[in-house]
Amino acid sequence: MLAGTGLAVVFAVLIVREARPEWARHQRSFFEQRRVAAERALQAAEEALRRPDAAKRMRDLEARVGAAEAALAAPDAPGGYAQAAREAQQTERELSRVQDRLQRTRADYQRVERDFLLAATESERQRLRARLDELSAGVQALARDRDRLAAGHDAMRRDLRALTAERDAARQALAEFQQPLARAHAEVAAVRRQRPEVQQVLLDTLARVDRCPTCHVAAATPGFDQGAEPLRTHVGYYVRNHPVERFGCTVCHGGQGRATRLPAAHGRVLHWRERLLDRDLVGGLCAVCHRGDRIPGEPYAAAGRRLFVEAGCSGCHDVGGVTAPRIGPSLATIGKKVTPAWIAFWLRDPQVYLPRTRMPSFLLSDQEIADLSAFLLSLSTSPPTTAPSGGRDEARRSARASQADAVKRGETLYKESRCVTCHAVNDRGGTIGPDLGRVASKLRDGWLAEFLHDPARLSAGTKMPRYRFTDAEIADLAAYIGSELRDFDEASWPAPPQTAGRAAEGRVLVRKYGCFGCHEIPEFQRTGRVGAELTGYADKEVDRLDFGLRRDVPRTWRAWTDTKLRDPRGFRDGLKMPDHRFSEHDRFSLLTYLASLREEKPPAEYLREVNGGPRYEPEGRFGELAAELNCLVCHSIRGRGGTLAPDLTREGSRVRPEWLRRFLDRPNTIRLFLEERMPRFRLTPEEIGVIAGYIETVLVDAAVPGRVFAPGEITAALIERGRSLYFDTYGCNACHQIGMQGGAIGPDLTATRERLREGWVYAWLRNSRSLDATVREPVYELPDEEARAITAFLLSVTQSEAYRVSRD
Amino acid sequence: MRRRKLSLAGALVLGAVTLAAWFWYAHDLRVPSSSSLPHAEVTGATGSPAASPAASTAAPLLSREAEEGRLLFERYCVYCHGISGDGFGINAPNLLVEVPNFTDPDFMPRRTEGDLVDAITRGGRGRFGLPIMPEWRLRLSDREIDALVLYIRTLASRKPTGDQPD
Repeated sequence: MLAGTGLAVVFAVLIVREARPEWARHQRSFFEQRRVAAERALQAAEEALRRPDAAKRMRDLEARVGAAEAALAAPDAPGGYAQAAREAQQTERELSRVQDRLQRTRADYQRVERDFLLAATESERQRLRARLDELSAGVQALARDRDRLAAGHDAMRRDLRALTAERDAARQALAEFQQPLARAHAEVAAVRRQRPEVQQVLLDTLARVDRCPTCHVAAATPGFDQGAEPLRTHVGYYVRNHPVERFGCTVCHGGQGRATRLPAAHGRVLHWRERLLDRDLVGGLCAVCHRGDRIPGEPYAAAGRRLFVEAGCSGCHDVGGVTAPRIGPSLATIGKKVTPAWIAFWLRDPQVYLPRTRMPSFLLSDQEIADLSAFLLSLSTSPPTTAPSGGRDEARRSARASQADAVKRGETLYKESRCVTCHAVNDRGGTIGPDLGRVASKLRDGWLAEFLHDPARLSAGTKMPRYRFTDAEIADLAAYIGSELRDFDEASWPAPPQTAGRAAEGRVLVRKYGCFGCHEIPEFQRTGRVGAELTGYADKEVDRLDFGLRRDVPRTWRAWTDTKLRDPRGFRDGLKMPDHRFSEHDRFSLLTYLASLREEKPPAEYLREVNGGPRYEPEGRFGELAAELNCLVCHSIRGRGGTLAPDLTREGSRVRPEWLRRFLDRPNTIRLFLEERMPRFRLTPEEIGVIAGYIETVLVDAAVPGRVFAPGEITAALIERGRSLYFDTYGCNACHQIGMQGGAIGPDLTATRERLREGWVYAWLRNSRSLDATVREPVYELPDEEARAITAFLLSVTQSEAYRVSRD
Repeated sequence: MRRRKLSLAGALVLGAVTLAAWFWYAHDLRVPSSSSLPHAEVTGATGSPAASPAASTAAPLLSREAEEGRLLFERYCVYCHGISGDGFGINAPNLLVEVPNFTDPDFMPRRTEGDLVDAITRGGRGRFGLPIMPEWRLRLSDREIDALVLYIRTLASRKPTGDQPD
């Protein structure tokens, strides 16, 4: 018996424990807090009503209601409400009686009609016809009565409503006044009724069941922003855009949705792969569905996705679904391009030569550097040239004679061609092309001239456009670059390795380190990438990560990945991942992106910004020119291209043809503060005609009006109104210039009359977002009258006027 | 007597085994407690990235919203407000008013969230008829303006010409 009691006690303890699970405790705590808040609100509402002024108002309203009701209830009330109500009722009764008779007569009519149609004899038919006529007359009379009564009834009801208007209004006012109290009462009652129960979200398409709201009951309730977990309102806009009924919780946070107890619910149990993510890594999972370059609300994952390609990770590591081009230059002819001293310097540590380079340091030994240099320098079918061939020789010889002049001419040409738009010189300038500060110390003689003559031939897929230089001009440029853009400290370069390099060994090294992942190298065109494949990397279990000899690294996915990015070869000897020396920002961005590489693919309807649809391809002769000049490196057209220069999708509707042709011939400055400028390609008139023609006929938007003003419609008054709007109302001169005055951010508007079409200016002021959503200008959706006025003003600005319009 | 002792012992053993089994299985098999990496302390709406095992000397990273605000700031605002928010942007000399200095520790605390959101949304024109600060309500969404405000708040504590995270 003792044993039985003992067992009973044991089981009683267990049962009681199971009956009061932790989530119930949380929910009870939540209800308690809500109850307290609701009761406090109720008290406040009652207090508010007890205040002298509120109480008086309440009494007034009640009195008003009472008076109105009394007035209506009195049998001989003024206005005769009671009487009117009685009459209305009587009319209603009579109306329904008439309706009844009408229907019955109609039914009779139809019956007789049927008999008439089936009648056998003529006399029968005549009799029935007479009857039909009688009935028809009866129906019409009844219908008239009915209509009369209905109209009368409606009129009576309107009168009644007028009479009861006051009472209804009084009641309404009283109810509104008492509403806060009524709401508070309802809230308290609702909260008191609540009982703890398991909350779950069923997601069919995602094949998940999430019971997170069982503990996290407050996630959707405002007001718990400062609460302690798990009773805390969800932060930010995320839940607003991703309602829990459609997304659940675990797709963004990880964890085990079906569990209702810690630690299982947070996935911290053996063999559950989807652990609850650290709060700052949660954003990585945005990237699972959001496949675009920008993820609203999550900048790190988007940066990580971009970095994964641009920093060259994709050169060694495949990720399913990510196709990445080779980001480094082709090495097919590197033998003729660079000097041995430079290659050795570069391979030792690229970031010492060029801090902004994307190539990481491979931590090579001297022997490895020697071998690799030997192999790479052998990569060129023709031996390195010391002098260019053909007519360029002549140009060089004559140029050498007046070297100083050539350098000066070359410098002018360099500036006119706006090389700084893409090429920095000692860290100052664009980053599309390599830094040219010391390029002459890198290149062999003759390569530069050949390159400038036709870049795509020497470097397939290059972004450099083919300027239409003459040989003399190329010689001048080469002279300038050769004499100015060199490292005057070349003597301080590290000495190349003393041991002789073995090209065969170099080839083995290339295969080992996988240089062909980023650089095109003959013989290795189709070789697969050398790094570990990272598809589904986020799901990798910790016991499959090699911690090697490190004891100080916590055994988590995050710690391993972070350490790997920080110190790629630190886990053990023999690893070959190079050292990118990522900044903390870049490292965290990559970590976030890697956390998004899950095996599970979301259903198609959840994906966002997947680039569907055909890519824009410029066609015909324009397409050839665009490829040679690489327009789409800087400009974008129809969603394809770069962001350095304006979008040209609607350029034909934007600019005037004469201006366009002039600009293509000699580009001038439109935005004062930029260092970047459109280069002068020295195009022939035929080429200019082709480009301008394409833009004017294809890159147009029919929604942009051609003309806005009829002749004579631009009056002085309109211009004055536009001027006042431009300067005083909207302050456009804070960003735009006219003449010498104004801000330096937006384009110069002095030449509007020559440059822009009037329809465009008008359409832009009405709604710029529909024309180009990528600009930095704030959106002004001006009404028609204002847009017209400002357009008129801008069109009227002349050169002389420009100096006059300046305001203090 | 012997039988009773045996049955008592058996019952006790049974009870002990039951309890042991319950505590073992009901609490699930835990992951070895090596997840000792400190989870991100919440220092913003969504927390800043956690401190790494190796001590980092770089400027602490911004929270997700503040980082988004930084990208927006550097795209739209730096020309007048300067890259560090000190008011010396390249366009600032062209303006009729002095651009405020966000890095001044006296400036930020005197402005509430509502003030900042209002300034960005309605601009100068909406608030006092002086249209130099543009109104961004049609270009930026509410969420983007909130992110901007979060970032601007951090400018007061960042070094004026310090290294911005690259």
